Amino acid sequence: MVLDKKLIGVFEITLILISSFAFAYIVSETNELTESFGTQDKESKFTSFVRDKALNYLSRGIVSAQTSLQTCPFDNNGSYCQEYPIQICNSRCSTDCLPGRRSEFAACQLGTCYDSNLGLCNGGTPRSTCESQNGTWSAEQPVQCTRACCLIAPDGSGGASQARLATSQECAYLGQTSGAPVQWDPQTTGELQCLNKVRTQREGACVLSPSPNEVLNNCQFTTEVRCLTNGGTFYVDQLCTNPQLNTKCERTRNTQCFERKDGVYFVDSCGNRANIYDSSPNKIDNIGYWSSVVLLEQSCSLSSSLQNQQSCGNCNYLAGSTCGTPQPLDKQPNSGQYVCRDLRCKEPDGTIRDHGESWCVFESWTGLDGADGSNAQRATDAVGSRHYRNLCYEGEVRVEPLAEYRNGLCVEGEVRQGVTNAQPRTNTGQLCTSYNENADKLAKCEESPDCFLKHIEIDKWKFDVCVPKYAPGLELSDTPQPDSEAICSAASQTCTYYEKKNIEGRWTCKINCGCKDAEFAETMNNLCMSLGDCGSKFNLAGELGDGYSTSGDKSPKISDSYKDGLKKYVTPPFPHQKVDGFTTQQLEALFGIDFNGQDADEIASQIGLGVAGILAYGMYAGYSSAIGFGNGLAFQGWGGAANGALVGAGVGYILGLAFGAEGDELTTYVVAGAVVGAVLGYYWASVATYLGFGAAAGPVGWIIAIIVVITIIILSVAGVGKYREKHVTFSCLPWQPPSGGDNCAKCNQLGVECTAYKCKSLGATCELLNPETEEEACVDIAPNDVGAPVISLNRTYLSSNFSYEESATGVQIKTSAGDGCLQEVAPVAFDIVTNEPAQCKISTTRSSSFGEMEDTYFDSSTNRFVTNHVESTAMPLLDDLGVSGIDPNRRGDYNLYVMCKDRKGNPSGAAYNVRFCVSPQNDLTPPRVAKFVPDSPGVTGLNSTLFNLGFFSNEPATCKFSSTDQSYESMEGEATCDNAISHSTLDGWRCNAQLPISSDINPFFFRCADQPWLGNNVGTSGTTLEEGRNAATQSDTYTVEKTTTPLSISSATPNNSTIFSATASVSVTMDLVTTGGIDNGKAFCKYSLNNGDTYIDFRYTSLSTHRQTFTTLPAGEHNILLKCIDRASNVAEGSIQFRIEVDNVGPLITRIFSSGSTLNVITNEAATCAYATSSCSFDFANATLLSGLANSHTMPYNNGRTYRIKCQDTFANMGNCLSVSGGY
Amino acid sequence: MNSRGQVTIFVIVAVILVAIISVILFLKGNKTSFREQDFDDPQTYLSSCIKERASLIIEQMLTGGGFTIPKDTVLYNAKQITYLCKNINNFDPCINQYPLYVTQLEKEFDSNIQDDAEQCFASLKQELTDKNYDVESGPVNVEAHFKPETVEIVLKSDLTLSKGDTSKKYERFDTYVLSKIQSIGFVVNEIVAQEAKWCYFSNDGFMLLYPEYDIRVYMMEDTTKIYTIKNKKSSETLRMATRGCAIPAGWF
Repeated sequence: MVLDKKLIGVFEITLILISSFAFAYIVSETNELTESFGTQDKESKFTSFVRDKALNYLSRGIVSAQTSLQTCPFDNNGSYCQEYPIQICNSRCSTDCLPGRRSEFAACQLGTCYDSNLGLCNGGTPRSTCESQNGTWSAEQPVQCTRACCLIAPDGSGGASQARLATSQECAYLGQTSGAPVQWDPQTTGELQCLNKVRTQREGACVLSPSPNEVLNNCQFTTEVRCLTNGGTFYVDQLCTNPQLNTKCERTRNTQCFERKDGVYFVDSCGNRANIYDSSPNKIDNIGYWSSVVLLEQSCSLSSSLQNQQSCGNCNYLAGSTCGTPQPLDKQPNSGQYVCRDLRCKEPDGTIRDHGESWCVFESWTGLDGADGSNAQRATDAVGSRHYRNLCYEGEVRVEPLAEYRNGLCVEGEVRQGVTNAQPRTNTGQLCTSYNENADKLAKCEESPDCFLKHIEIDKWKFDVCVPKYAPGLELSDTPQPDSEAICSAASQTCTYYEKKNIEGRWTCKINCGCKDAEFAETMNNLCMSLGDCGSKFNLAGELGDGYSTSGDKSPKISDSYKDGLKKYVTPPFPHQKVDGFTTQQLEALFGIDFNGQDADEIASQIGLGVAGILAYGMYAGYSSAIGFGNGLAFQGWGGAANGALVGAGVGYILGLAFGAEGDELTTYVVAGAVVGAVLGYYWASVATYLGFGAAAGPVGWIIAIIVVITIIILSVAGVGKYREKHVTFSCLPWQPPSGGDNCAKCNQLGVECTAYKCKSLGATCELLNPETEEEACVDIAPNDVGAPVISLNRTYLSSNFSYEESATGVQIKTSAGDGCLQEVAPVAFDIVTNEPAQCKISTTRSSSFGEMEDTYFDSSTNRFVTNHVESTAMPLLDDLGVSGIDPNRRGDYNLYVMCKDRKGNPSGAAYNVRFCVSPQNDLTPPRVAKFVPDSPGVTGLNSTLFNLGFFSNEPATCKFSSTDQSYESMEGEATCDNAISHSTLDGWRCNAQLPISSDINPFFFRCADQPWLGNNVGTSGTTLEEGRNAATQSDTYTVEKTTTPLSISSATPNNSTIFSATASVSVTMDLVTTGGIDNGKAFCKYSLNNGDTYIDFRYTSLSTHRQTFTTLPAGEHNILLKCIDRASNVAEGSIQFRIEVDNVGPLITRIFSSGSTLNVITNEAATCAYATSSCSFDFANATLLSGLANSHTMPYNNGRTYRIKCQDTFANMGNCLSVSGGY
Repeated sequence: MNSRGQVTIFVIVAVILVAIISVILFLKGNKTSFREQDFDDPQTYLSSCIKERASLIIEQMLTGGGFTIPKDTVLYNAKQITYLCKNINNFDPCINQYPLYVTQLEKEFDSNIQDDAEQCFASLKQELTDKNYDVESGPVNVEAHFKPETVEIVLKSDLTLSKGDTSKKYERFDTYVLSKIQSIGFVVNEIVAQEAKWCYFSNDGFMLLYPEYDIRVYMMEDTTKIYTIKNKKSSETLRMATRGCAIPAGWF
């Protein structure tokens, strides 16, 4: 897995780099000042394509490419048909690995395994596993797997002593092993309906002859069938103590509990069950009450709080009571030994919970806090917290943890007044970023129950982002987690604020000034912490962990009052918050079923979930209705159960969304960009206001205007009124636990239980040792660590152009040439090492302690505890160091201060000083393109006219491009470059270009010019570079290949056909073949079951063949829309129409005629026919078959005999028997 | 009463006392030889012996998720729990490893009881031989059958016991062990089927509909679920694991 994590990391990092070229829709679209800059949709398509691929590999959980997986038929652990990465497969497999995915090999194809002896069916079974265990395997569920009500010991009137849903063979097996008669009722397919058969069983007094020397009759209270078997006379609904039956059984005051009965029953002197125990005088001694059966509904009513449990035995298990001996909190019965035992639960705070009731438990706040649309709004789930479901069961409160890292959410609803039901569901919050691609999608953000629209607004810097409502957890690991960093980095932003030079020559902030202050850090932290375990937030022990870095021209920190506001989330509020359930639309999309108007029991049977799932939510509403409460089992009940089911089944759906919900692409991860344009737009708007003033004020106004213009010119020459931009970058980082391990031991006291995730969150040196053993404990693994981390320079990291001089306080880095000073803007990268893993900050300001330092971490190590900390920086301008003038010998000192602390919190001591001497720039070297993203050649679609390219220049520059190689000045295309000095990256300075596509092969030439701050000269002959700027004299080339043949869906099955099935839901496999496009048909395909509202990825896609199997498509017409996209964003669309017909009617014999001694039998559908001469009840399997398997069948015919003919279709539906006795 | 009469009475009393004592001694003697009588009754002896062994095997199987020697396992609460449905990868449902689980249970028991039953039979023959019986027996065949309430073990062998002029023949010996292991197996099968399809099993709903079962579920950090299924009537408990639709941290 280490390898896999690295792969993931590489992918994500690549993605981030690519994404950063995308001018995020969100920012530009929501800022009215940036409208003219538009969006670069093509970029986001490219980004999302890469993300799509990344997601695809992440979804497989292990490796980056589908072809890299191999199938192990039987692994070293003894598991069948597991998939492993090719690199490790043979080492994990006890047989030879198969070169491909599971589905590509017949032996490991998943299907249904049928146990012909027991009649049990099991889906999700590899063929080889099934057959090796002597089962019968089929790709689709066979008709033998149809379940219906199996009545065990039926009473002949529809009731039975036991009942359960079973296959026909399973029912027969139950009868065989129990020795009881059974009856399989194919008409009853609902589990609830089936179980109710037991309740409707007819019973009565079975009067038997007196024993020898006795006068009075014997009597048993039993079923009619059993009575008749024993030779008795059955009196339905009568009790053995009925005086008219003249039995020896007499009334008693004894009571008893009976198997499969909830209530306390009187028993007569013969031991027979009588009516419900009722100690009221008009019942206990009443002859009438002891004569005939009184229905439960008409018996005494047990109060909901069991106040009258001592006198009434009408218990109801589902309502929270059952027959039993009194427990400490129960009252003693007035008569007998048994009471309706109270099954309710009492929580520590005194809250009473009903038996079967479930509710959610959160270990911290969950969901949102803060006003809608405000900067303060944020997700609140604390690091280390988990959702739990508590269940009251027979007086015991049970705790069920949901998926760790808050991947499982607990949804709670009220099933009736004061009674709740809780179900788990998957947290889809990680998909929220997929809504950020364009305005249409963003508008739908809050349609997802797990997303909210986070609004950021600092002066003119504003945007909306769709982020998780229930912040998911991330792995808290000592090693770098690229996936965590990628998730958090979505909230990394640079705000540009603008300063204006006043008449006194001082620069004062005019635009976006909040970005300099804590407001920026706090607002961005609210966004950051909503993405997951990112940003600065508290753990369950109430300790703050680090999770952000600010850098640039200012490094604002979050304030203490802000931290206080975060701390309250550690303690869950009372009453606790609620998690939203999935919407009906999501459930329908998931199951492909229209829920409207369907009975929940039927839906359950249809999709095979079983009514058990439904009852978890709707039982009180449904089952209890039979005994007087509730409103009937309704659709509302289904929602809860389905939410529960979505824990698992939902994952496929969710991944489908992740791979391309609603359109072609997914997330643009980074919400950066366009802000510069926004502010410039504002600036020019201001200038226009100045100039417009004079024109409206007449001659005097003109004079004033001229004076103003002259003044402006003078001031302008002096630089007054000039704006300069400043940048502050907020880097959202994975959360790091607080130093030390003082709180490790609290792991078991905080929240519900101690887990590895929670333990790790309590301190940087906390670790859960011996998990799942009796010695499991969360302990401080470095209790005696008092050594401070020692800082030094990694000498080998510096390139050969540099030298260094170490001193007691730090190091001075010099160039190897000249006096050792680095020129302005010169980039340099250095590595600071610590002798133990440490967290290090770097700042231009010296601080006395680590905590007081600005929250600026190293570029590479960020806030992680590592030993290597690489910083890539560029020398500032001398002006910014306070050294002005034109003297070529002027020099400035540039100091950086480094402080570190180890996991235990031991600080490194005094700041380590990294010094540079800065000299004026004397740059004669033109810039060059250091890297293209993506690499050349790029690919583009058939109809594309533009191609979005990212690249890096090796120094701040302006760049141009052209389709022919020519000078910089002559090039017609201009790239957009982020050339602020402080915005250097490890690859250089980022640029973005839109390349026009005109032919199949499109070469482009790029040249850049350095020192963009010097500007251009605009003259009559055109624009030339300001003196001192260096333009490249040689071009860097890039080629874009255009698609020449359209991507198309050449084959799609099933199409325009009818699929017949004996069951209401059918498994259908859809196969597509794609051709053309940029990669000869290789594409990613999706389908939509709802007319294009939502597209979901094929289960197997990415090559030129694509497959999706629907396991439970309902009967009816189906129109499935198809959409495939290739690497160059070529799109092929199509659709499949087919019909599913349920065939549960046997074949009809439409014609019979004889020809000589042959009888011809014609059926209305393909069938197998058999005949007998005895009667119509002949055993079809052992009867004589007619020749012919389709619609036409023949048999020998003797005119003098009578033949009984029955036909059976391919779904085992039996047609009516036909008697043939004459000539036709 | 004359002395003769008195003597007569004493004699009668003495006779009665002797008779009573004899009866007591006789009965007592019978009790002390009860074990020996067991050997005379091969059915009782074998049933007792096999039942004891069978109960141990069932207990082992329940603890091991249906297997006496747990196979692919996960450590939970210091116990190795067998995976019955497993997918090592993320997101996809679990893959059913024992699709014929109930049949598999029966086979597992059958293969384990063979040696034990034969040992019981051998032990019986030895004891009978020690009691001076002439013992003749044919090959031993053992079959186990699961029933809803019991486990039936049938030992078939032609056994002839002879002592003096008398001899007795036996052909089969039936043993019944009260166990709900088959019923629990059906429940396990249902849980696995639902997990393989939906990655979810509604234990609370199932328990309310089928109150004779108590099903607990615990989800571990890697999304492995530990199911504990208890039949309340027999108190037999089986524990097994599933892993499917796993969701890793930061899965996006």
